[in-house]
Amino acid sequence: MSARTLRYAAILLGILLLVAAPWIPIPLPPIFSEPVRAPGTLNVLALCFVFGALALSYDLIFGFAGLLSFGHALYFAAGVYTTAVALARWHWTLPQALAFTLVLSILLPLVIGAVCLRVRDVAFAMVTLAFAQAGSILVMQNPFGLTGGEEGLALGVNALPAFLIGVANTRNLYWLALGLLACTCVIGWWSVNSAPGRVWQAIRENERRVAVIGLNPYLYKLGAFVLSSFLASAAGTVYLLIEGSASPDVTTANFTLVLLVMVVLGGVGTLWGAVLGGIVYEYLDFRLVVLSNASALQSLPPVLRVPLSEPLFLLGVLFIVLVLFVPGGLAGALRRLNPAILASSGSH
Amino acid sequence: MRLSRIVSAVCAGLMLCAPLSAAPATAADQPIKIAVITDMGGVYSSLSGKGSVTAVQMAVDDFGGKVLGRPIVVDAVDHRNTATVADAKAREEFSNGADLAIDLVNSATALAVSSVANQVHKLAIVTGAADKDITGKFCNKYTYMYAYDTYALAHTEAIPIVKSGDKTWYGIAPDYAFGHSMAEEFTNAITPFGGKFDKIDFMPLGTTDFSSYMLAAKNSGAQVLALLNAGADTVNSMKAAKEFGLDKSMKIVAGLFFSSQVTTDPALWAGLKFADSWYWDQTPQAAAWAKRWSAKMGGGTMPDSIQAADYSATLQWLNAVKATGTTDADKVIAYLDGHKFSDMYATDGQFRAADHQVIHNFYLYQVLPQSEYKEPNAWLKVIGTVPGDQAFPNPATEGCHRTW
Amino acid sequence: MSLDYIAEQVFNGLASGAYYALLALGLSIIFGTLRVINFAHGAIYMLGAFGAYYGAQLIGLPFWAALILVPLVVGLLSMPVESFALRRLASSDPIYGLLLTFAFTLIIVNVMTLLAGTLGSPYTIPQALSGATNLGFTLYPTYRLFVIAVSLAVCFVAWLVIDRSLLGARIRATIEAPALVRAFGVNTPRLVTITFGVGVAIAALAGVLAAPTTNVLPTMGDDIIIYTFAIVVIGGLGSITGSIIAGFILGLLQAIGAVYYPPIATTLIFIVMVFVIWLRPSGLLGRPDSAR
Repeated sequence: MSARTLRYAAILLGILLLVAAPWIPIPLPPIFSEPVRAPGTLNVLALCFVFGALALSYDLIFGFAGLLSFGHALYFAAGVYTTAVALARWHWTLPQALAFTLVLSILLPLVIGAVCLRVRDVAFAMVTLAFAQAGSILVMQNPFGLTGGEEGLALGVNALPAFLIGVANTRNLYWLALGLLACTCVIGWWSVNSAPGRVWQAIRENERRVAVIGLNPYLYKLGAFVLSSFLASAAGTVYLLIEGSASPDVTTANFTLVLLVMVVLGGVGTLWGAVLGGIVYEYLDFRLVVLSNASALQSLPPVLRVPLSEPLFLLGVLFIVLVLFVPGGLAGALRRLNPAILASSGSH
Repeated sequence: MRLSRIVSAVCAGLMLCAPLSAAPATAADQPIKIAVITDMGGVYSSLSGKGSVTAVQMAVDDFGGKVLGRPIVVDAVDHRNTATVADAKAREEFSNGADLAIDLVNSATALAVSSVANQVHKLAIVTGAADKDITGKFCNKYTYMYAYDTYALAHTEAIPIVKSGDKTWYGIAPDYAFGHSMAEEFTNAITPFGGKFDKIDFMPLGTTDFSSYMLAAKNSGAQVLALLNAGADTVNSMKAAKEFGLDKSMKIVAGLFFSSQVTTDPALWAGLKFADSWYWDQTPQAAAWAKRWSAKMGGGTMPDSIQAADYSATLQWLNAVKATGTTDADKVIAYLDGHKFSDMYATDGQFRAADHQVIHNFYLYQVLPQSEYKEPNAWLKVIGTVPGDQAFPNPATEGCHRTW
Repeated sequence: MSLDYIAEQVFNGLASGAYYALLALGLSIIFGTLRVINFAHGAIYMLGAFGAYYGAQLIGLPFWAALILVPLVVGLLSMPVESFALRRLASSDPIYGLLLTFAFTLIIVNVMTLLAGTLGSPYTIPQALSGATNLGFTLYPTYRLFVIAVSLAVCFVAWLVIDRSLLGARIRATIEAPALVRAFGVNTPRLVTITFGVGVAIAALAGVLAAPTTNVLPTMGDDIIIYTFAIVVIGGLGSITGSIIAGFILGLLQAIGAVYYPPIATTLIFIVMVFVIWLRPSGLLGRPDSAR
């Protein structure tokens, strides 16, 4: 069998396993403390998938179109809050709320992107950051009592259809998240290999040349911006359904920076690398907190124990190590370890 | 290349270390668990955090370490000031055998955990949050609010001052739920006695420069400056107030202030008036406990009212468990409702059945200048007392629809 | 609203603009020479304030000494970081430099939180600068006047050096064509490192100035850095003068805005930025394509 067939078979097997997860009773220590099918495990996996999808959406504008946006969190938050407000404050049905979110998640990046893309590089990064910050302030101000301000917005018991509520239905949320990830991957892969996708990569390499050929870089960049923001909003909606409430931490600039970490961790410009980065980051975020309470850590002298108990400190150190020594991220490292995974051109 | 291998190996190693989580305990000596859900490393960690955990542990130790023949375990849980984390952690703790969630500093997390407690029928006692809606429109059977709320703060501060003749006020408040709630409470408190706010400036979150507002306050000629904010905002606005000389011409009142904050800058806070439920040097009983707490915390700090409330509430709960012979929340609540008590923390305390607010005396304090301290850390003097039934909201009017 | 009152608010605006100008100046200098968006700028500002605090606590360092010593020390400490870490990334994608500075921010803020706690550390206005000065039309806090004076002085000297001196010309030339400048015998790596150190030192200076009037917290740099970025964009990337002027103007606008309509105070900077970007993408004084 050729390496290619082997690779496809492996992918197919992986997908089957993921779909079947809610029926797998096997525990997987050290990765999870409960069996795979337990609601707790499925919940963590679902969140990991959401972040994988979100990271992929960010890789589209950052890794492929070369647009460094510091405000990507805004669109994720827009997905979360639009659906939450529609369900909890206006008491719309789920299909109505989703339709509304769909429309908004195309219009919002269209308008904001049109303004932001007037500038490039650093200025673009700053402007996107500014819009995200403005959005964060807006949410906290709780206009018309819609967003719940600092306390967030909880979906009431009646807001969602029955098949999405309750511990027993965690598997439905799991499959929803898996579906989101799958769709996002498909859309992502299709778009970067399409004609506009190639133009994005050309813009990333040299925008002036693209303009000289006769294409309008602004329109293509706007297209990438809207698509990736739309995917981020979709991830936000699924996140809301899993968490059951909206909280203002998803609007902070810090959150976008975390996204940047995920993508760099996974490997910029390789879609699967970003997905991997998102999944690994979210998993570590959960686990590092448990780790900091673990008894092995408690026996270390305070000089070591205290910094190691701080997830942000570890993150910073991990980051420095990554940036200085492993610039290709996990994807790059995996490629170097395993020659069977052929390196694609254009990795950073 | 080798380095990337090392990094991957380290990460894998870390992951392997992770689940050193406990093997399940045998049924025979299933401990009784108290989950202290608090902010261990963020904005409120100095006011609550580790100090609260210590206070709860002291209560457990003073009680004897065991109840109903079972050992008592205290779990410290960090909610990171995020409602979603608090919700998840509370569920995790309750499903792992915790019978009581306590502390819950930060109103958003308190509301989240209160809701979880209501769903799983276990008890939550809020000592660290200020939102009076917790025993108002969001009241539920399985939550008690133990220490303070914005109503008590406003009424205890405002009424004595207005009654003594200072009727014109100027307020500054942050522009979000807490700020608006404080503004409303204070306005409602001073109006019946003839007091009036010349203006209340709502400033955006994250404001660090209060100079414009201080000038406006000075210009207004009001007698009282009300800093209707908390934490870093109070510090920044106090610094600005002193810079512009407002402390010489106006009385300054802080909306939410904890006595342990005085230690950070005694000279800055001298002269400030504020309300609170407890002060460590107020009675010999309180002082004795406070000194024990301080020793356990390594000396240098004294406990504030949240931590004292944690100690008191834990003891009350343990006594209730012992008296009823069970940790079943319904039975404990039946015992606690209406229960009157006085201890190191609360004078004329009562677990009010109508809205699950625990009422007790509330006090108005003034910060002394350092030269007047009778002993180290004796920062305050009491200048007013309001009994519990007046300090806390009237259950008939505060919006609690008692459904149990 | 009397003229006196408005005049007082103008001074308030200049005082907060003074901080913005210093921070924007430092950020501009670093971006200009290293093409690195220094995310750690807010953390350095915070370190400056804590440097003053710990100096006073541990060795009784008076404010005047702290003004000189703390920026010097912080600036010197940052130089090895530049030559060993940031320099290595100069040839790769600029994103890595940014990520590195972000990582440093996480670590620095975290360590300071562990050391200093979250309630804030006290620092008082030095005796000589406390109280108010009679400006003729009003009594205004002396310390704020001092801050305005120091900021104007530092900005003026920076402008003089960069725009009008040989050293400044060399620095500007190094930005445009480093290899060529090196061929002339100028030690470009050392020049870049020193310039970086100066940019950092200016941020630390802003922190020392802020300590007496602001709550000294590990998180005090988090919000201010976003405003600083916006101001640098408004002033024009690559323009030192633009950053300084934009800093003062925006401080003024914010103070006046706070008087008439407080809720707008924090978003005002962003609104102005959007306007400026829309009308003149390269900023007020930036040169077109200077962002490249």
